[in-house]
Amino acid sequence: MAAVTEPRNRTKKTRRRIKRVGIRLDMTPMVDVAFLLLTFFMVTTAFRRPQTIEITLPKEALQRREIQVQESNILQIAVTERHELFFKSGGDALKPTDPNNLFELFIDESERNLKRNEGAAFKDRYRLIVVVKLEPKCRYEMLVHILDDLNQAVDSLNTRHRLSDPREQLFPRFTITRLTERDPLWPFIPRKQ
Amino acid sequence: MARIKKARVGIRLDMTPMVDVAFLLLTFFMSTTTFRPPEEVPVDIPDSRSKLKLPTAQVLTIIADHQKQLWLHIEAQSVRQKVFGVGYQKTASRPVTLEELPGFIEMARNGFATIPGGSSDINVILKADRHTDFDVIDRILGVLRDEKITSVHFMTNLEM
Repeated sequence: MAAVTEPRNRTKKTRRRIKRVGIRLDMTPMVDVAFLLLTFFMVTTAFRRPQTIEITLPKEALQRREIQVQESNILQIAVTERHELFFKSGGDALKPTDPNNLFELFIDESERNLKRNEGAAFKDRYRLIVVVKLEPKCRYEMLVHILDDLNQAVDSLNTRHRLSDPREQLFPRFTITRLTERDPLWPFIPRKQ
Repeated sequence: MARIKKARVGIRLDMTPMVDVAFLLLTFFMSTTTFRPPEEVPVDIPDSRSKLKLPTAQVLTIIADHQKQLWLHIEAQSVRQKVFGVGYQKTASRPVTLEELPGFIEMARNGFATIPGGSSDINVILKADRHTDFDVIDRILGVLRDEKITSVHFMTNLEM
């Protein structure tokens, strides 16, 4: 394990000094253990804390009350159980879309909405309400994806319009409902056999 | 002709810097580690680009796994003891049904209100598997709405 090397060239003439002994320590086992522990801690460490998407549910009293909203301020997103996406902006016709296009769709619709509603304060001009309608058999993943894209789009709007003041910032407004046969959109959704 | 043998040279490598770095890393990881809590219910949560952090205090987690089974998860042990019934004292999660959920939420509210520094204002986290049907999620949200919980956190992983 540890070896002591004898000092060479000893002559009798020199004064007796305290012997300097070169110590050579075999560090292999220590390094082994160190690396083992290192690997263990690297593997078990949880660096990535999960993130969250926060949603606000309507208060019960609000839910019962009917709120009048202009049709032009509504963007409906319908998701079938085959995960086909459709959107209907205001009074326009229902159009198919793709999960990858949602971000652009939200941006475009928001900009159109801001242009349409000329008001005093910037924040009051943003009246877009996104209605997400999903069939009950739809995956939860799809809902998260839509909400995430909406959040990202509104974030990007805030940077685009340089709204750094939290009170001035736009925030996404959306509702989540089931897509059933009673829904007015239902007859317009093409069914594949 | 005899071949000339190549002289074997004993190599001695100075491992000191390597060991230094290894120990530095080791100390770093040892001090920063928070152990991953053992997952009692394996759930594959969806990805998002949201940078919001999960709340850490007063948390009640509702877990929906891919088999549509619901679980209740409370980290705080003192609250858990009050909320979870007999037989679920050792685990941080217990299975629940949708019908039982309102009762458990009420108990959790009372439980969090009695601990020092706590209140009945609870943070509800929904930890659902990405393959769960929307139907299940919608029903849970319905229950939460009826319980006058107006803010829900969807637990997601940061998309890479």
